[in-house]
Amino acid sequence: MMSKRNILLFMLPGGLLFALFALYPLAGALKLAFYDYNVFSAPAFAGLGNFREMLSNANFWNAGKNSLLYLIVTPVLASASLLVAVLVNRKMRGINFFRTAYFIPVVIPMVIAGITWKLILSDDIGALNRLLTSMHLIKEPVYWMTGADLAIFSVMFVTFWKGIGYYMVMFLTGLQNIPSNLYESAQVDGATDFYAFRRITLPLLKPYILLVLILSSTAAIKVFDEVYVMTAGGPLRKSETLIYYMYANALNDFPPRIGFACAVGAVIFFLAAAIAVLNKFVLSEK
Amino acid sequence: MASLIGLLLLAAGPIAWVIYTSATDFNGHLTLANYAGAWRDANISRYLFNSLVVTGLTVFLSLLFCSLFAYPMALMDFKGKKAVSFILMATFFVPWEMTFVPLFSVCVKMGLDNSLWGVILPSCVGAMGIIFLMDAYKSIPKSLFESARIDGLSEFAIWYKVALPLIRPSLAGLAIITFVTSWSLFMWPLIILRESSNYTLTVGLSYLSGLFSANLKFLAAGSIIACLPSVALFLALQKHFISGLVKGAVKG
Repeated sequence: MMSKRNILLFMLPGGLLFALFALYPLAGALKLAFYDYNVFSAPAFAGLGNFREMLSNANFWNAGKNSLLYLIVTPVLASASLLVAVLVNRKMRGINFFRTAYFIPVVIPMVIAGITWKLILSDDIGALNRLLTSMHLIKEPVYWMTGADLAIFSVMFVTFWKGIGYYMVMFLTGLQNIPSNLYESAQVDGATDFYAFRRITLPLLKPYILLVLILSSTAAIKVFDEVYVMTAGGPLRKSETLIYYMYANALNDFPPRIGFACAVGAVIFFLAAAIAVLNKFVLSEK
Repeated sequence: MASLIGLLLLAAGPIAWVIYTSATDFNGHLTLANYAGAWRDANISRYLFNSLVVTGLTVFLSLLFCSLFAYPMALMDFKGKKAVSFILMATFFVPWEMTFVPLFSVCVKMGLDNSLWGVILPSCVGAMGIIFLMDAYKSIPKSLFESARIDGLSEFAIWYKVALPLIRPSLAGLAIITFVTSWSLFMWPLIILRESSNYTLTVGLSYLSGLFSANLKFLAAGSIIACLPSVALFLALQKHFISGLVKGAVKG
């Protein structure tokens, strides 16, 4: 057994860094949510003022609506990556090449992915519009990122593109844990592939489905990088999500509204936790 | 087969297009001029150097501090252990961006603003790494520790000579995940690094892409340079990478 002094010595460096750079700022942020603070003068206690103002602020509701809309990406990602996992979970020569290729977007920094897709989707010089024009599918350029209705979906597509390989790997691990004799006996009984998928694969994958839904919905509610590089919340705040709204209040507005931004952060925190709990609840009910 | 190839086009098509854009001139002839230009004129070499410093030190310190912290957490009983693991678990749901303003003032007070240390120190200890390594320590057979103690090794020597070599696969997994996470960091470096000579690749490239005069070909070349290290690492260490990623997510 270790002495108390030794335990302390082992935990001190990491504990100190974690307290100083994670816990202390977190406590500070939760406190600031109840203050008015603009960096230039001392924080002034505001009680629930920030939260009250948030509720009556149209831009907050707009960002909240966009963040909820963004959650559409979660079920789409989960089902698409499950299908891809099933597709590559077979013994076939060269299948590893496809698995590897599908995974590559995951290790590309999101900012680079965002910049790349921004170049592909831009109105006039973008590769996609040029391709579609040369195939005579469109006459006018499509405003993928500057069109008010399309912008948020273009950003969502990048989240989808980069996430699919990650969740594919999660599902692949789950699929490989399913004993193959289950499928063999189902085949002997004359079950179709679809029946086997519904009755064997889906129930046994449930913990992995839950994991993927929690991970992808938490990520969707916290989305920032792709919004920042692709649309900066525009046009007309049509792709401004909650985290971007928080960022804009704290760092784009002048004077900055730090307390208000921290209050938005607290709301995002509860939203993320609530969505995770909801996922768990709904999936363990069935 | 058709669907496999269709998906390949979706996943790799954009990357192939960026590679093509970066390696051709405006007439479609192959050239490396864009790489040379990005490297020299767009300061990519500087950004790359900064990213390598940040990521290298973050990986090293993260392995060191997390493996030290996780050791007594996994193997010893002491007062307050339950409270510490509860706090670690609770931090999983925090949107860390909300802490950036108080974190910024901590960094300013310590003189870390506009310095690479201001990126490294806040990102080298996290709940994920600690819990990941606690799990690895727990899988070591207890008898090995006992015989090491009978041999009279000090607790530090047992950690260093017995435990660490046995959890090497997990350390490798954590190293790779930390590498990719740190390499991709964006919002915090964007806030804490003010001078462009301190920018990391992600911040530098987003700055470049926002310039009105941005040269697309340079941007494409810079993007490829920014992707190469993590893609190469992934290709070289696929097995460790994927098992580490899945274990980290399941435990986290």
